[in-house]
Amino acid sequence: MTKITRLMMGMPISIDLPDLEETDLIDEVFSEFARVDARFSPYRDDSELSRLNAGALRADEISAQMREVLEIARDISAETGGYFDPLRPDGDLDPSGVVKGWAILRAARQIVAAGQTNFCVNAGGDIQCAGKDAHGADWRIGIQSPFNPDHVVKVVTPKGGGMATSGSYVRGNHIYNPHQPSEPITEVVSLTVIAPDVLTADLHATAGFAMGARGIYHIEAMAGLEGYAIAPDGTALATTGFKEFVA
Amino acid sequence: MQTTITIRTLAATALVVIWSAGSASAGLFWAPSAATKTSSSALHYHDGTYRGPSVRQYYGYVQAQAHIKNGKIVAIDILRSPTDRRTSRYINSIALPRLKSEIVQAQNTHVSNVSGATLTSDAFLASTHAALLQSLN
Repeated sequence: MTKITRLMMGMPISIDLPDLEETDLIDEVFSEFARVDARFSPYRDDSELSRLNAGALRADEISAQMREVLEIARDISAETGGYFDPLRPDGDLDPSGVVKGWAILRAARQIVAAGQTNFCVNAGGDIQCAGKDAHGADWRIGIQSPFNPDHVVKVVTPKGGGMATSGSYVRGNHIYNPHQPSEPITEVVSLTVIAPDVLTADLHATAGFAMGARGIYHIEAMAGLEGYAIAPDGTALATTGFKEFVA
Repeated sequence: MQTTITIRTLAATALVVIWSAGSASAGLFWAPSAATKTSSSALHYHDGTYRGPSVRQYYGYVQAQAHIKNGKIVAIDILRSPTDRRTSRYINSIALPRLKSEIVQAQNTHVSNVSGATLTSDAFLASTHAALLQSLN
């Protein structure tokens, strides 16, 4: 079995291929992540995204990958009533929220195309697994506690689906607003979404988290999505079908 | 939207403030498994409000602001976080379904991967660190 983790795109990315001993395929997948980063990084002046935002690209010079990502961003923004916003406050395009899940899904397809049926790709806590782990069992994915990064509060088996969590630890337990101490807390500190693929999970985790306490109901209303939302007081709400995924 | 947390929140997230009186260095360390401890030696924060830089993080920006009173941190505001992009529009929904609620509990079990959001807190710490360094000057 081979599992390698690298720090890329500002996050740890791990690729787990239990049936392979050699690392060639993993190297190829990481190389593809590097190419995605080179194209979409908002922090590189020479990235296609930066050149697009600088007005240095004509419409006919935009790559097919960039078009695809921007179309996904536009569609999810419309689908979630603007809660998924690919525009930065300064007006620049920032499709980073799409790129992460999109890149993980591409990596999964690259692995499948190479003939592997058992794998798990985890990029910054967003995960696409398929098949079985090194022990021949379903992949067991923990939902990290928003109150203690060492703790797992739920274990799920996504069964070939994708999974993503949006959240903020700094809004964790014991938070209160001293200016409005009696204000009931309606925030969510962590929203995990299980979807048919990691891109869908990531997009709806991002949008659902931005909706605050209403986000879990957005997930409930979406066909094919299940979710688990954790509130600052340590209580959680699960969607109706979430229990089917609990290990 | 601005969220204010107290230093107790930092303690709860195991943020350890280490201050070495003999050296010019002060640092904030993310210590997930360590027992929370805040140095009892004098922290020479000067009173006032100190704004940390807006720290770029792949999925957005995080900026913190520290309030110091009587030499102690009394509050840290999150001025900016990647989740502050919410618009005023609400999705129309008819009746909210009743969903199952439970108390979250740490599970003592093996998992192969963990799904979580860790990046924001790192950027938050970086911004907070910078804000506190200003208060030491």
